[in-house]
Amino acid sequence: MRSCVVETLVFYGLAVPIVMLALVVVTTPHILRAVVALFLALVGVAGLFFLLRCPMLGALQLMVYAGGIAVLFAFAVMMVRRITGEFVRQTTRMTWPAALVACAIPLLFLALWQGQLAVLDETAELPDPIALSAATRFVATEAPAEIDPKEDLSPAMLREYVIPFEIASVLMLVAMVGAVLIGMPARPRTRPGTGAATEPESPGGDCVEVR
Amino acid sequence: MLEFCAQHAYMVAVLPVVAFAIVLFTGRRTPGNGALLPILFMGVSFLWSVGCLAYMLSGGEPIRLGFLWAVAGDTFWLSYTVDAAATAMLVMVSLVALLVIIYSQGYMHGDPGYSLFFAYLSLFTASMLGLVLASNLLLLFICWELVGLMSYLLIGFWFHKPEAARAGKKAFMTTRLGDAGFTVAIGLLFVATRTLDLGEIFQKVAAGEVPQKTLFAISLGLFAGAVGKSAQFPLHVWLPDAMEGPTPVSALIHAATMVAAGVWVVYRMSPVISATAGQGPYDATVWIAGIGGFTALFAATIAIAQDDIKRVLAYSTISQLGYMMLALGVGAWFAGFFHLLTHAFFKALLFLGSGAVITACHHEQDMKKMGGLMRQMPATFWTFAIGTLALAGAGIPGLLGLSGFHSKEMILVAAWLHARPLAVMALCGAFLTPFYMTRCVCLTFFGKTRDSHLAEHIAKVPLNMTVPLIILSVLAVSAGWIAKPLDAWLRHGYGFQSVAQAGEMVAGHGEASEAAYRAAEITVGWTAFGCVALGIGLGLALWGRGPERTAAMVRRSAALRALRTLLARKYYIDEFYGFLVHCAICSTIWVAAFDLHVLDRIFVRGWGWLVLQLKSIAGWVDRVVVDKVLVHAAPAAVYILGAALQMLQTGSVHFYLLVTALGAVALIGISLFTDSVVQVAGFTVVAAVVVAVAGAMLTRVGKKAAP
Amino acid sequence: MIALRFGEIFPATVPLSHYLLFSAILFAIGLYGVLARRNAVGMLLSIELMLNAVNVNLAAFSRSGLPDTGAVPAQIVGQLFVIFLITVAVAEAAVGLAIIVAIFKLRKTVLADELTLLRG
Repeated sequence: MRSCVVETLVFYGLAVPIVMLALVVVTTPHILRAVVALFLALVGVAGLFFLLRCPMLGALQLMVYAGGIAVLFAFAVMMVRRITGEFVRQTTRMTWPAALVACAIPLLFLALWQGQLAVLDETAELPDPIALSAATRFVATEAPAEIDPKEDLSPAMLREYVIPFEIASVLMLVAMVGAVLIGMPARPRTRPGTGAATEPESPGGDCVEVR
Repeated sequence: MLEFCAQHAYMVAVLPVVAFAIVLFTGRRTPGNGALLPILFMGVSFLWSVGCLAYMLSGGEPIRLGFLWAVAGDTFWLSYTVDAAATAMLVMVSLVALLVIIYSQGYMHGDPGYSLFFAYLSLFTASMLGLVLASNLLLLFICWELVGLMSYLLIGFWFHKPEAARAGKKAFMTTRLGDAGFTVAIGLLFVATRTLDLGEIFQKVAAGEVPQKTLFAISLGLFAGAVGKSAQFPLHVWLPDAMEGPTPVSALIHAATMVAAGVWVVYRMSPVISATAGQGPYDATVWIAGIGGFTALFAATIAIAQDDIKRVLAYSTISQLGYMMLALGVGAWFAGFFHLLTHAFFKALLFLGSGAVITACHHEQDMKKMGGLMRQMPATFWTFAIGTLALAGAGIPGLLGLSGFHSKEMILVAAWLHARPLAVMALCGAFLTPFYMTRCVCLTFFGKTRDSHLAEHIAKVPLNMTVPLIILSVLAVSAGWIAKPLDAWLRHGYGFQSVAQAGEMVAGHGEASEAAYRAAEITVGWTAFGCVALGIGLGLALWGRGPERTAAMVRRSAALRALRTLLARKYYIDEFYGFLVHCAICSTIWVAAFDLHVLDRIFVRGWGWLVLQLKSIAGWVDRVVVDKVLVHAAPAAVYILGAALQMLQTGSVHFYLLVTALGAVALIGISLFTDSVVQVAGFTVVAAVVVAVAGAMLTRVGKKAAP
Repeated sequence: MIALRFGEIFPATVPLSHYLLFSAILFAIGLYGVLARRNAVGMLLSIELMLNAVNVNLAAFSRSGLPDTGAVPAQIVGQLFVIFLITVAVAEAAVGLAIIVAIFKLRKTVLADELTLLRG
């Protein structure tokens, strides 16, 4: 294979900023800055999708994630901002354990291939003697043939993967209804016969104060 | 017919049992006030035994038959044998029993226990006949014990008399001591030979299957039983006291039959006992002869000083039984057996005669008060005199003699040949016997009646008491003539032919040669004649005219007085035994005290103390361990565990997430790097615990964060 | 179009491991954010990061050689998975934010440390 400098450059040009933006997301005390950083990171991930020749995913990412969720977060942040001005500590006290655990993930990944990442690249196969179940063994194939994502993805969703598709749509419906219910303001309930308004119930069920 | 008699010889013993059962339950309602039925059955029994005798005399083969008794691991039979010796004994026993029963009609007339007496007599006769017939140790033992029981019941027949009751107990206890040895002997025999049948036992003994020491022990045990039953020294003390019973009882049981049972058993078990002969320290015959000879002399000395007529006869019986044992011990088996037969006749005669005297004197038994009865009871006197002569052994050697002469002479000769010291003792006894019997006759019948009250009221002796006396006196005279044929016939008709030395064992006179025997016969015969003559002469001289002469002699001499007291008090043996019993009883007080103060303290109160300690320990355990520890521990454990787990319930989302993340990382790592499910599970558990603990410690963070 | 052009001229050369390592790092950062952020919204942001890392991972695998799972070519599975993941992420974000807003109305705080009603 010919090495492609551009792709590498694009990859690293996207990956590094994404990582830096992610760091901003998790560390900055300003929530709004975190939201913006996330938005930008999502855009970057969309670019990665395009790089990975999954244009549909990239488009979805941009439309739904970056355009939808990030904006949603921004709204939410606005709604829950405490405008007191005092400086509140933004991190928990378990930063170090969290860091340790977090570091364990890539280390685990590296340990898995015991530095023989080249094998993974060539064959997408795990090196011996690490034995995994056969289902996770990757069989080396030829370079994948070009695909037309539009043609293959949509029919697949409506044929082989129709059930997950439907469930996903139900899930969306449920989420929508649930979000509406949870966010609904309290409304007065009239008692039958009295006509007087009873105490407004708060949504979200009965939260009992134990203090 | 005769064979039928012999084969069903058990009927001889069964008929009196039937009579006993009938009379026991119906009593007076039977004819003759309960007497005729036993007499009838006894008569049939006597005829039956005569039939068996005729069978054996006519050359019949000895019969051994039996009834199956029980099967308990080993098979137990009750078997009987009809052979020459058994039939001779059968006839003797049934005849004497018949005569005594007829006699009892007169003697026990008017007695409140009349019918019961006859029932007892019948049962006793039945058991004695069974004992004679037995060829199986089981049947023998049963009849042995039964005979002892009947003796107790009959001695204590007049139980309202305390002396009679005491005498009955004493008889039973003393014979029981002997029976203990007897039982041990039977047990040893069974263990050694695994059978109770006499024939098989004799076979095994002859084959040498039983070790010498065991044979010695067995023989001694059997002889111990005989010592008890036949009243040898030292278990002779019961027989004189047994004279408290009615005189027919004394005649039948304590003269002719029961006391003869011991001699009979020794005679029957001769193959076993003679197997110990000549075995050095394990020779039982030495013991038998020794004790027999000693008893013969010992009892004779006591008889001199007795005033009760029946007591004289009792000691005489003891002495004569000693002669029989002496004979058996030196190996003169026939002599002993023959003396048994003759002694039965003349001793029964003497006892029945004394019974007649007692009845005539209104149950007065002290000879010092009697006298001069010769004129008033001539029949009694003459029969008594014949009996005395037979007992004394009156006769001219080589010519003629009464029955006692023949049998005693055989014994003396045999003893002379085999055990000279014992023969000397026996000869002294042969002198003493006529001596005290003459005294008895003189004091009773000669002179004038010393008690005036008695003199006026001499009762008349009924016929049914006199006729048995006459019959017995005829037998006492004539029985000696059949000695030699009897000897040969017994040898021929021995019922246990399998024993090699059957002939010698049964009817031999030891191992002496014929010539020595003849020489001894002459020597001893004339010596005995001299002793008898001396005894009778001296007796007549001293007591011919009553007791005054000897009374004066005793008064003058302190030595004689002391001697008389010693003899009259029976060498103080009874007092000595009483002392031993007293010591035993006293020791029980010590035992009781020991039990009360020591054993009770240790075991009973000590146990109670122990239980109390255990109780307090248990209480402590319950209070401290159970209540404090367990009852509090369970909720405490739950509380601690809950408190520990509660540390996980921080309510902090971050903590939960951290734990989840850690767990996930750990799980992934483990599942990727190990390939064993167990390892995975184990590591997972460990990881989870570590995570929980670490998290619990970290959540101090969460706690402090909350305002 | 662009992808085709890209694929014709410049075949894929960035190794799979790079993508996987990148997604692992992104995931780790997101995990750190979830554990370290006090603000509930910030936690949700971090969760979105984690989800995106997973998406990248799946997409990267969809590009490499995978065994065929029936009729659908191997490459499709990863992308489909990502589509569904995005769906789920959307639902979760919506509901989660609604909950946070509701809690804020009740408790006047969005700091997860202070929401310890479940403690005990």
